[in-house]
Amino acid sequence: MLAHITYLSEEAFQRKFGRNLQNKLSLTYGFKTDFQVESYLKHQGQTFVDRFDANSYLYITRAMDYFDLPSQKKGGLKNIYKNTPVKFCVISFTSDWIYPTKYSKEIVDSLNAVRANVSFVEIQTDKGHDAFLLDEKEFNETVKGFLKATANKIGF
Amino acid sequence: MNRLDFEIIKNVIKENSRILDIGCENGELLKFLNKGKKIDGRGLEISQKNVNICVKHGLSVVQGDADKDLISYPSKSFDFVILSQTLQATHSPETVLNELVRISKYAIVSFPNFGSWLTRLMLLINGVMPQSKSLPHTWYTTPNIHLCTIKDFKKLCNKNSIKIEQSFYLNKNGKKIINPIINFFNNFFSTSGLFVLKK
Repeated sequence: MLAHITYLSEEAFQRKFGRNLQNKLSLTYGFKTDFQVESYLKHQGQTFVDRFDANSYLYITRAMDYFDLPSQKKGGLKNIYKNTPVKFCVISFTSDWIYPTKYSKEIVDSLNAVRANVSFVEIQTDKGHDAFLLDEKEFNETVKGFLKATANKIGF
Repeated sequence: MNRLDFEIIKNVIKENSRILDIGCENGELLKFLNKGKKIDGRGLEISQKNVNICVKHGLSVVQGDADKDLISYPSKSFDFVILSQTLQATHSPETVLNELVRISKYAIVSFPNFGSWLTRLMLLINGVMPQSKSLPHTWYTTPNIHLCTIKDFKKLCNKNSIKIEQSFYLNKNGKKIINPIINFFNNFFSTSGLFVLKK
């Protein structure tokens, strides 16, 4: 449930649920589900528990803790990308608070520092971290344009 | 106006060169250059909305600010950097100018000439801040916070030991001024100037 909150944004929660009550007309002042948002999060939490083994989360989070790209090369992040032939497109979403724009720009700066070919787009949306899974027009068009131009370049 | 500006820039730029267009807006110049020449073009643009348009059209553009972000490029990263009609809108034109010649072999800079006879006349006769086709804003809405004349610009280049390799003087229709006498008095007659700089 807690993790699920971070996939969405404050605006999205506000828009979807606000303080709406779940199948009732007034508050019960107990520990049962009063608010729609509670019911939604409980349902999402249950779905996760049913779908995934909790141990897999232990492994994934540990792997993330150990992942340290800048330490792989002397000189840090920018030297990772040195002489790369890859064409990059970095995309961030305004309401994503797991991967905020600030960090995407850090990647862009280090790519510029080694003269890599990079595009950077920030998409205005209130759909949070989940936006990349959803039908986000601006995002779709960006990916489409980037892939098309890249395919053209390599004669695909 | 821009179209002719573009044509001059296209003629200055050499085949197979690496280019950065600073303040590339919706990528019009990059697309124009891509058409006739084989270039590796990049863009830097402050408005996210414009950046998104560029990337949708397959251009390599990042969101950024000429005043702050040129520092992340290593020296001589580009064969040409272009700053078209933007210098006057930067917070620190002198720093930007030095960054331009640092990160490129050649910097192409164009700007509206505040010293043109029309501007001088408007200020002299009307006594208000001049507005024209190349300076369309009111004094309180203009992004052009550092307007200068062609003479001012040359002085600044000189102060920073920046060499002017080529100069183009444009009239109010954006056409190159050919008449040698008018060309000589460029600071009085031209509406804007375009310079190729080197350091």
